[in-house]
Order: sequence, then structure tokens, then C-alpha cells
Amino acid sequence: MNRAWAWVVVVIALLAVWVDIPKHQFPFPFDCPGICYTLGGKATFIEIKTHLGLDLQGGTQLILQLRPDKLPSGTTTSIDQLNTQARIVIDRRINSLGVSEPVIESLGADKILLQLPGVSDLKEAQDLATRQAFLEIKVPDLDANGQATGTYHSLTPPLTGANLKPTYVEFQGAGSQPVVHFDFGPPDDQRWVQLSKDFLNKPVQITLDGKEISAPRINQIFNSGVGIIEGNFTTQSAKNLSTLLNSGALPVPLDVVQSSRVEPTLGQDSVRRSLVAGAIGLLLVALFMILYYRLPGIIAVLALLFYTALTYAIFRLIPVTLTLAGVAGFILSIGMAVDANVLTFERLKEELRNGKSLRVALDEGRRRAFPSILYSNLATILTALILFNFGTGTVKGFALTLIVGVVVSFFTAVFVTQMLLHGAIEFASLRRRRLWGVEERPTDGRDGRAPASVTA
Amino acid sequence: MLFRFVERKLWYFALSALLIVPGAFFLAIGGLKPGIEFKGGTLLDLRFGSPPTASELHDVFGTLGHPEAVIQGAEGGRMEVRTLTLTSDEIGKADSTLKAKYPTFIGDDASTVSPSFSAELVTNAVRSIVFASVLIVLLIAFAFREFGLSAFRYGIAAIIALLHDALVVLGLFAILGYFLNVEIDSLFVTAVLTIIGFSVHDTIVVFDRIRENLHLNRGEALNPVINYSIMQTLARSVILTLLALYLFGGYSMRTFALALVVGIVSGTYSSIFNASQIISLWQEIEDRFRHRGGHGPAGARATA
Repeated sequence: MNRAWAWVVVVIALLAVWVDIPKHQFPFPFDCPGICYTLGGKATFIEIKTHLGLDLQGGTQLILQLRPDKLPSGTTTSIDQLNTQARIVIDRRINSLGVSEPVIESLGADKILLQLPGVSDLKEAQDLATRQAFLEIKVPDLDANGQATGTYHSLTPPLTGANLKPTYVEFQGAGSQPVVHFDFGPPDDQRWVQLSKDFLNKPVQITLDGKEISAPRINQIFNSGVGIIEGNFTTQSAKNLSTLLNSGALPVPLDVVQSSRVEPTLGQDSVRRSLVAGAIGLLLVALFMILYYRLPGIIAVLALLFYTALTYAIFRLIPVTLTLAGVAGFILSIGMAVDANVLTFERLKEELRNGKSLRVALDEGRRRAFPSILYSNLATILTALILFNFGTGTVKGFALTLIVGVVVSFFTAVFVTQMLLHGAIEFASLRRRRLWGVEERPTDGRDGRAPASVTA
Repeated sequence: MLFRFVERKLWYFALSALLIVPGAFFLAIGGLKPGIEFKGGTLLDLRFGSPPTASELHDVFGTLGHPEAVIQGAEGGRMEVRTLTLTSDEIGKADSTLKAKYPTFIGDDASTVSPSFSAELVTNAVRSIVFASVLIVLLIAFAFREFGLSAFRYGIAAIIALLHDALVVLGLFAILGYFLNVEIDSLFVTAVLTIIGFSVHDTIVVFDRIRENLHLNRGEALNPVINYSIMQTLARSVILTLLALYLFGGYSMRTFALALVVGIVSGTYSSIFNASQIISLWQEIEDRFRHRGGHGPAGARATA
């Protein structure tokens, strides 16, 4: 049973190291930066990489406030729906811009967090997020014979999506074909009726911010603004078109309540300094642990390496976005991991000094150190959970790394360290008491009893 | 060798008071300077090869229509400019003006927060600290539930130690804010919450020892048990503090690092010299109140 667990830990360690290897920087011998496999002719690629926060790679952050109070009265859409729709719109705009790894999240119901790595133009970012997009129906240019030429022009005044009610997908006909249902509200319904008369059997172009998203053909003369767009839709493609039609314009005005721009050079400098400080710190901790605790110290360092590899792998997999504060949380959790080991080893030493055998001392040491480790870690996790709930941006990143770090450190300290310690005493040569940091002969210990000579 | 941690408790309380009172004074007169995150406005962090003087920059922002700008020099040729909320157009204009006027102007970080949003941040910061404290009292009371109602004593003592550490750091930053205009931001709140976590962590380790030793020494007086328990955890506390100081001392965010370092030292002090002493004092007051004069261990009696 013990042996099986040892293999589990080894497998976890190997997987963690594999995830940690920066395959983007070292393509050889890794042919793909992440998980690639082909199953039944379908290739899958899941990229694995470290996600750096804005403060580490530079960019722009906006916090946008939804302003439903600026909508015309009588709007019934809930704030949650408005939030979702607004995020879809912004997401689409950003995608068309080619920003890599943007963050678009809701902050509570009425705010949206937007992070654009690599975008340093605040004005561009604000425009992108707050401009009211523009859906327009264009009509075909006709040649001398009245045939469509494949180009389109605007009507005067332009027929826009301003009065288009939310579209949806419905299923029609014998084969339950998916179609997109639309409805122009007045006065555009009359214009639509007129347009269907003028351009019967010709395609019209639906554009969003000037780009074509669909060019359906008019098959009949409409007598109202209500109709359907049919085509060889799958359910998904019909849904996509419907979303596009609906999400062209922001459903609600947005105000910028916070904006910040971070220069990437500052970020990179900070990363390097923090990494160097962290590396030296870890090295000193390792040195100290080994000199002070001897063999258990070496085991603690192994456990600490396992801890660091696993935590970093989890950060890359979830993924947790690393910010400067996040790195601080990571370092803090390393401290907690060391503490758990120190607590256990201090107990272990006491038990050994009290004349217990190694095996008994190990079990006793763990049993007696466990409550302090458990409750002190719980206190930290509670605090971090509260931070995660109430905080924004930086604070959230800090809290998340701290939570992941403390959970992994708890697992490492009470499980992996113990396993290694028990493994070590299997070897006769490792059972010498000097290696465990105590004298060869047990001194007469007091077993936690207060000396009687001291009075209050 | 046994250090008399408990017997001299009034001296340790006095030392804590000495540390807290000046800070509390500056806190009371509004020394704590909220950053733009908490009060709204724009902060421009300008970087120059060779920076112009503050009054020169003040004139530049005056001509841009922002005479309220507060200019402050920072290390590495940086100048911090605080103004009322600037629009993105205004920030762009300031950038181009600076670029034209100063050839050594490298670039800037800009952050803007609207006042309504900042009010929300303050509420959240306060709420999270209160909420965390309540949960920690409950957690410790649960961990020490074998002591019955006295378990809350341990929770409350831990919170007093925690408030001690928070006050030391807040007081320090109130003093720094008053004399050097050092501002606090949400990273500072993060630091304070980290300190709270660290402080409780330390206190729990000591308390857990006291609990265990009370178990092993039923009938023993409380004070010697506390003394002994602190001795047993002392090595660990000192090691951990030195480690924490090292890890965070080298951290590149200066105010964050300063807050953490001071808080960690304070947290170690309060868990060794304050938290258990509060338990002892509480017990002594209770004993005196009951006209018993004896000092049986709190926990042993509570569980009996």
C-alpha cells in the first residue's frame, strides 16, 4: 500500500515536471507546446503555458461599469444578461483586433474587467470597449440588366440594426431545419417591406462595422418586419449568426471607472528581480534546512522541490495568471510549506530526545504537529478565500496563488514528507541518530512536562 | 533556562502600547494617505533619463489645464504626478507634450480610478478585514473546542494579537503618509491581510502547544505551562521569521515589502509576547474575581 502511494507521488512529480518545462523556449525534443494527440482522425491541441499578468508583460486594463440607467425606460433585460451580451460584443471586437489572451470577466453583475496585454494605447482600448457598434443592411448594386453585381451600397438613410429586435434560432420544415428568426421594429419594418419589393430574388448584405457577416437572398415580398433567414445552417452556425446579429451593438452604455496602463519593460525588470530573489531565497532555505535538520532537512528539500514543481504545474494548467502580487502569494505559500516541515521536525527531534525509536518518533511527531499545521493552514486559506471574494485584480491573483500554494503545501508536508521519512528509515545506514540531528544516546527528556521547579 | 514570558507580561504590553500609540495618533489625525485606487483620480508614473524639477513639471501640467497636479520625485529618475481624473485624450496630450519638451522622457504608466469605484474598494477592504477576523475567532474556538466556552478566549486573544499587528503596520504607514506622503493601495491591503494570516498562523502554533501541554500536565498552573510552551515553539518562530524576512525583504515592490517585513516582525512579537499573556491575564482576572486566589489551568478545568 505504501509502495503504491510512492509510485503515485513519483508519477505526479514526473507529470508536473513535464508540464513545467517551457516548451515554447525549448522546442526540442518537444514537438508541440502542450498536449497534442490525434484520436479517430481528429487532432487535438491544448496549449500549456505560463500566463503572465498585465503588470509582468505590459498592457492596458479597464474596468467598465454598465449603465442600464442610461437605457430607454421600459427595458426589461436583466443586468446579468446585459453583462453577458456586452462581454460577447467586446470579445468579438477584440478578436478582430488580434490581441492575444485578452481577459474579459464580469466583476459582480454590473462591472466588466477588461485586460488587453500588449495594447498600450489607452484611447484605442477605451474606444474598443465603449463604442456603440453598428449593424447595417446594405442593398446590392445592380447592372444595366437589373442583375446584382456582387457589390453593395447603403440606403439613404442607412437601414441599421437600431430597431432590430433580438433574433433567435427556430426550427422549420420537414427536416426541422434551423433558421434565424428576425423582427424589425417600426419604423424600419416598413422600410424592410419596401426593400423586399425592390430587391426580390436578390441578395442583401448584413454588415457589422462595415464587415459582411451574411448575405442572404430575399425570397419573398414581406408584409411585415418579421422574417427568417434560411440556409444550410447547422444548429450551431444558425446560433452563431443569431449571436452576431444580436451582439453587434452594445446592449447597454458602458462607462470606464478604472483604467491603467503598464509599461512592459518595467514588468520584465520586476519579473527578473523577483525571480532572482526567489531563487536565492529558496537556495538559502534549502541550505539551512539541511544544515539544521540533517537527513530530514534533505528530505524536506526534496519535498519542497516536489511542491514547487507541482504548484507551478497547477498554475500553468488551471491556468492561474501570475502577477507580482501572485508571485508574493506563491513565495508566502513556500514559507508555509517550510513551516509545516519545521513543525514536524521539531516534534520529531523532541520525541527522539525522549528516547523513542525512529519509527515511533516519526508517527508521534506527525500526530502531534498535525493540529497546528491543519489549523494554521486553515486560517490562511480562510483569509485567502475572503480576499478572493472581495478583491479585484491584483488582490484576487494573490489570493488564488496563496490558496493553491497552501493546499499543495499541506498535501506535501503531511503526505510526501512523511512518506520519504518512512522510506528513509527502511535503510539501516540512514537510521543513525546523528543523521536525524540528535545525539546518539537519548538524554533524559521531559516529554513536554513543565519543570516542577518553576512556579507561577 | 526558562525565560519568564508570562510574569513580565505588563512590560510586554507596555512595549506594544509604545509602538502602537504614536501610529494610532497619526492614524487618528488622518495620516494614512489613500492612493488613487481609494480616492479616485489619475496617477502618472513618468520616467526620464534625467528628470526635470517638480516645479517645471507642475507648470507643464498647469498649461495642460491641471494646476491641481501634485508632483513627487521617485527613485530611478521617475516622477509621480497625481491629478484629478484625466480622460484618455488628456493623458495622450500630456504624453506628447512631455515628449516634445523633454528629449529624455522615456514613457509612463498611467492609472485612473473613478471616485465611485474607489468608494466600493474601500468598503470591500474594510468588510474583508472584519469578515476574516470573525471567521478566525470561530476557527480557533472550534480548534480549541475541548476547552468549552474558554475556547473563545483563545480566539479573542488571537484577534487582539492580530489587531496589534494590523495597527502597527497601519500606524507606520500613517506616519509615513503624514511625513513622506507615502500612499496606500490595494497591494497594501493585500499586505495587511497577509500579515493577519501570518499572525494567526504563528499564534495558533503557540496556542496548540499550550493546549497539548495542559493535557499532558493536568493540574499544573497555567502560567508555567504557557512559559514552557513558548520556549518549545521559540526556535520555530525565530527560524520562520528570519526566513520570511529574507524572502520578502528582497521583493521588488517597496511599500509592499516594507509592510510585510514590519508586519511579520510584529506578528512574531505578538505571538510570543502578547497572545498567550492575554490568556494568562484573563485567567488571573477571573481568579481574582472569583476570590479564589488559585490559578488552575483554564483548559483543564473547563473540560472537567
